[in-house]
Amino acid sequence: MNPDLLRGNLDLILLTILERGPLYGFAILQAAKERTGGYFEFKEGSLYPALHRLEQDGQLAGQLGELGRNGKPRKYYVLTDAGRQTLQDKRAEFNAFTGAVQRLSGL
Amino acid sequence: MNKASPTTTTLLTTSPAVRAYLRRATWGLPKERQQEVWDELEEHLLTRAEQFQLLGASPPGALARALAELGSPARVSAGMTQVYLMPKILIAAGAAALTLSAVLYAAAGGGSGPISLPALSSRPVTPRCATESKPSKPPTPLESAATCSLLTRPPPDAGAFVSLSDVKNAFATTDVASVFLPSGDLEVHYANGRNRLLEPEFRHNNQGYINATFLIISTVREPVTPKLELAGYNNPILTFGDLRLQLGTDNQPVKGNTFYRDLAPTLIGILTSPNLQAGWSARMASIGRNQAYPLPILSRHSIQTSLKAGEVVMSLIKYTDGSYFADVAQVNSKGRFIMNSDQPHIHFVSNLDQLRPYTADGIVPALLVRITNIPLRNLKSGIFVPAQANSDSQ
Repeated sequence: MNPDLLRGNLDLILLTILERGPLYGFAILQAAKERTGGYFEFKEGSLYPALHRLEQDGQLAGQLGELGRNGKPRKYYVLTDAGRQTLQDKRAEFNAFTGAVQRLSGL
Repeated sequence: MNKASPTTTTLLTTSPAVRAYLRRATWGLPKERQQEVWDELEEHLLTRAEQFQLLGASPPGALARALAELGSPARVSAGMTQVYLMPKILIAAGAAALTLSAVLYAAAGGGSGPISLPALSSRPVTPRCATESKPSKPPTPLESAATCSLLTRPPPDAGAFVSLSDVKNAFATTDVASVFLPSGDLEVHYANGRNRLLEPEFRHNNQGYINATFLIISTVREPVTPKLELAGYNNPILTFGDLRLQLGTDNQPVKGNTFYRDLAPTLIGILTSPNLQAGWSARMASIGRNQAYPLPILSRHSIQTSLKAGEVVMSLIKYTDGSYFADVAQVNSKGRFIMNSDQPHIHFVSNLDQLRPYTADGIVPALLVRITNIPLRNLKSGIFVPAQANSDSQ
């Protein structure tokens, strides 16, 4: 897929993935692939800064979970109330946009 | 709880590529975030590498693919810096941090350039109320009570001072771990299991600073690093194990005359000590910048050598009380250097035992030691005798 599309909607995608429940970084990538049949292929280098930015913005909260393969607790990302509200707003915005594009195309 | 694959875990903990990647990706982040991001990326790499192994990749191949998939560490670092630093600092400062981190990564990943440490050339000016007694006249070789006299007295607070934060960041590109203690001291953990404390001499802009020479002084007695060498005069390069540190930058230079004259007492201690681990006489090595006698330069000797341009030479003359008179100079493009001395007639000798404070013929023995590009722990290997056996001052 066009990487610009992915980049432009990264927050929406991440918040959507985490809507179902907390996940850690690698699991988020896996979920994105599995739930879209491999359509979303994140560059990991952009995933972690995005997660940390959303956490700093209060959209996500970090929680330490079970020990990972390096013997350290895994960091899970949890959708906050603010993040849930942002997700609703972004989803509505995205739906409006794609609806307009579809109408333009006569679909 | 997950069990890590021993093979992959070993790979991760021993692979210089992984360490370099994680250091580069986390460089410049606030301390409280650095470890967190490190752990997160490390966990990601390990998990992904195990996946590749399950698909049939060899452990090294799996790790290489996981690293490649994670993308450029500079990209991660840039993204993280934007999250944690950009709101707090000027964009220009952030860009400088990113540039420096790229240099650090290059240094760790096979790049040949040294890491530059900016340096202050003097302590910040602070009000003082102190009394100091000075000798009424400078000592002569016969009557000196000086511990070690330097010919040119630098300004009282001049030197080459580097911040402990910069030192810590530089260490982070190697196997040397370091951690700030609540006191502000930097505790350095060397690969051989020994620790050293670097105690700030002063604080400036909330940063602790040490005299750059202390990096050498703190490690020379014991081989906590496999290599310890200096190169160059101004902005000298200190090879410190796997680390090459350029002390000073174009904008914040370290002047050779100040740096090496600060270091001279230590170099004398190394030369004269029969056992480095036992240390050396404090009389030799503990001279403070403020204690040096402001001796006038009475004699200048131009010495021809076979050394390359840029090498640095220390000259020594011995006083009656066992202390030494030192000067340090750089070899020029013609292989010559200027030795400043208070003696007009000198004779070059080949070992310390031949140094004597006084001779009947008035010709005082002098020892020359190359102090750059040789192991500092074996300074005696730098002793040389020039083709001219004697020198009369110009």
